[in-house]
Amino acid sequence: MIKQMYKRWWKVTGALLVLYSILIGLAVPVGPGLSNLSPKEAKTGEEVLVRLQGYNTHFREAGSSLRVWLRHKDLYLQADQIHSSSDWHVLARFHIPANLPEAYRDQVYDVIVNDDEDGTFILPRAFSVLSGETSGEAFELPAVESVKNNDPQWFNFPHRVVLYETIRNLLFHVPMWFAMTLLLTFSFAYAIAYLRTFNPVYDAIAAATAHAGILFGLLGFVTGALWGNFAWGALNKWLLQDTKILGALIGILLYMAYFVLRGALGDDEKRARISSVYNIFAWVMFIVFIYVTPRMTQTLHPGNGGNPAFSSYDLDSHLRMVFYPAVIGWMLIGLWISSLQVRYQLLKEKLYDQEN
Amino acid sequence: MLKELKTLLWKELKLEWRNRHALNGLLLYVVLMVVLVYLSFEKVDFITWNALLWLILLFSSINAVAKSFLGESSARHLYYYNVARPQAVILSKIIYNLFLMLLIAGIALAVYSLVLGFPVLYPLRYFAALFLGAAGFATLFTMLAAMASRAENSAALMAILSFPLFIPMLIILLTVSRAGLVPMEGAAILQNFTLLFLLELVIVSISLLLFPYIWRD
Repeated sequence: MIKQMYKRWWKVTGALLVLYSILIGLAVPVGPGLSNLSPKEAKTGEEVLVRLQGYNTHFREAGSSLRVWLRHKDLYLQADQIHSSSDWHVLARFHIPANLPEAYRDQVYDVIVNDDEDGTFILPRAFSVLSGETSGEAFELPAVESVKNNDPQWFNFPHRVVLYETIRNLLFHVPMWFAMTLLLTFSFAYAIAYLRTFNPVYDAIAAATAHAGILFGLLGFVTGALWGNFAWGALNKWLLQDTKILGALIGILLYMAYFVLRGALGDDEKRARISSVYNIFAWVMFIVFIYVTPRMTQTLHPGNGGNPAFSSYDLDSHLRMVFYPAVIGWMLIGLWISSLQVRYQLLKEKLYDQEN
Repeated sequence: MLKELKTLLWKELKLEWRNRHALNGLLLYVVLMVVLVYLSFEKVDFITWNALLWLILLFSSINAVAKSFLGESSARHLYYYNVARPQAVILSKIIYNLFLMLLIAGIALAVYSLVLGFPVLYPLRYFAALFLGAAGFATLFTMLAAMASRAENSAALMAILSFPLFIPMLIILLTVSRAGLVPMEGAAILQNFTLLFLLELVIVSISLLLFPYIWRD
């Protein structure tokens, strides 16, 4: 491992992967979606002209393939006339039948749009159908046309209600957390290696990786705070009530205490020995915290309900293409930062030896 | 090993008995903390009651456990180093601190419930949680006291080192002790107790493994 510290290939790989993830992560548009509509309600027996506001949609390009429905359970009411004034705006005329049965009245309907360019997208629970005229005629569920494709024809990140454009923060926030955990684990492994061999280089590596781990913890904290402020509301409402955030905070505090301990122990050999022991303790408690306590408390993060697993981040295949490179890239960058610190430390010692 | 352990433990108890003013000071500290909490809160609901009790125990135990290494001179450490195995030394300290913590927890609980009430529904479960909690304090802080005693200004260092390490355990303890305060499923209680017990086992085994490295000076 120490020989690899001076090699160039993995640093270049890390830098390229991070560059790729930043460029692609910021450049790829979010998929099509609906952001607003007006009016938001209609009565039975009425004819209503609904103005839909799209986001990253291609209504004009889609032309005649554009279709709009109101849906409640198995009932699809299709717009009988559609006019798209621009790519992001469409007017749809619905005729709400007067003979709508009781079960479909006074309900909130989803709005569904499909066209050849953008596929299918939904604004859930957006339109209310209220009770107005009634008629005794028997009601038959209208037949639903099948559509050609459900996915957009262009490369995109998923459009999620609540997250919207911030979904790309996934490519920055989550890798920070992964990189922090990896760096702290490196630090733990080198603390053990130090206690087995008493080679001072291992202690320098343990300290440097812990340093970089704290850095990534802080970055993860900041990116997470920005994201949470958008998705979950004001910071003080959720900040320390979430176990994953607490876990990151404790990780940072533990390793800050580690550096305080290192500062308090003057002597080099003793410092390395005792801080390695504390490092091992800190890592074990950190792992206990991030794996055990989430089962006892609650979290707002995805993959909640007592399950700290990573796979539950609902990644789609496009996000995955950027997410994994970003994770590996940031991990390599973290190791690069720590390797520079180790080399600086070693050079300082060499210089000191030469002077004396 | 067992014989060493017994001798060391006996030595700790005898020393404590001869040095009663330290123990008395500790008990006075606990009582003063309870009075302080009572004067600042006067009336508490059971969640706060539980949290405050654990905080009182946390601060008293840091003081109690810190003195197990800080109170002894390095010359005496050198003597132990020559006559005993490091595992026997750390184990005797852990067991002794466990006794001390149980004593403190018992007295703290008695005084505390005298002034702030006793909202515990299932005393047996709560006492079990208290016992495991005392064991948790003893196991975690003994090793940290040993580390802190190697540095200058070790009393302040002890608090800095132990607080972040203690947060995960405090959260587990609060969850575990809730079993005594609200009705809870048997399986969930068992799971929480097992988790805490396993955590303490892990801490004790790491202590036994790593103490030799902090021991020699």
